[in-house]
Amino acid sequence: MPGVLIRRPDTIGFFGSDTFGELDENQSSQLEFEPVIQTEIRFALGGLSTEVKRIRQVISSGGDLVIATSYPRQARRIANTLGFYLSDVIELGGSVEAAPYILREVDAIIDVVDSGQTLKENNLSVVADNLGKLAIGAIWRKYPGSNKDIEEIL
Amino acid sequence: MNNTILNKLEQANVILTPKGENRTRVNEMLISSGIKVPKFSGRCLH
Repeated sequence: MPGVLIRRPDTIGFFGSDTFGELDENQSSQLEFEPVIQTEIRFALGGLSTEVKRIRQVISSGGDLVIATSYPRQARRIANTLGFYLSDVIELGGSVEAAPYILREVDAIIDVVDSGQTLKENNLSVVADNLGKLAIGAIWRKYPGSNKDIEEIL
Repeated sequence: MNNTILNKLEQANVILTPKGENRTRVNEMLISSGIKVPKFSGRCLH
């Protein structure tokens, strides 16, 4: 969708800040993001319930964690905030909650949570919550350009 | 919504909306602002 907004300057879109936050600099620099709806959905770090104590110890000691997530940029920000070293980020397109079971090298996951039900259903526990709330925002191209841009893609 | 966004909406030929629960939230906001809601997410409004 961000690609459409860049190519069609007569377009406005509404997306979550999680989507906007993962755009590369080339894309985000061309777009304006204005939050319009605040949600209770937020980023959280979770892991296997049996591993929570170990993950907390690693974080408090500034150790290394391998994180599975759909949000690699957010994962780097969160690692800096919590003070652990991100030894690897495994980027997944979805079903992140399955990663600790399927990929042995994964220590924890970073995902968006609302009620936390998905984590519970997969026997995962939240290790760190409220790591950034999501907003839905209006997004449009900063520099409208000309109709020639539209004609070129039609 | 602020005036900048309302102006953008009035000028736009296409409005893209998200999927799922967020689509409902956006649609409610558009309706309350008197904006015609796109029939499908990601479809042209006009």
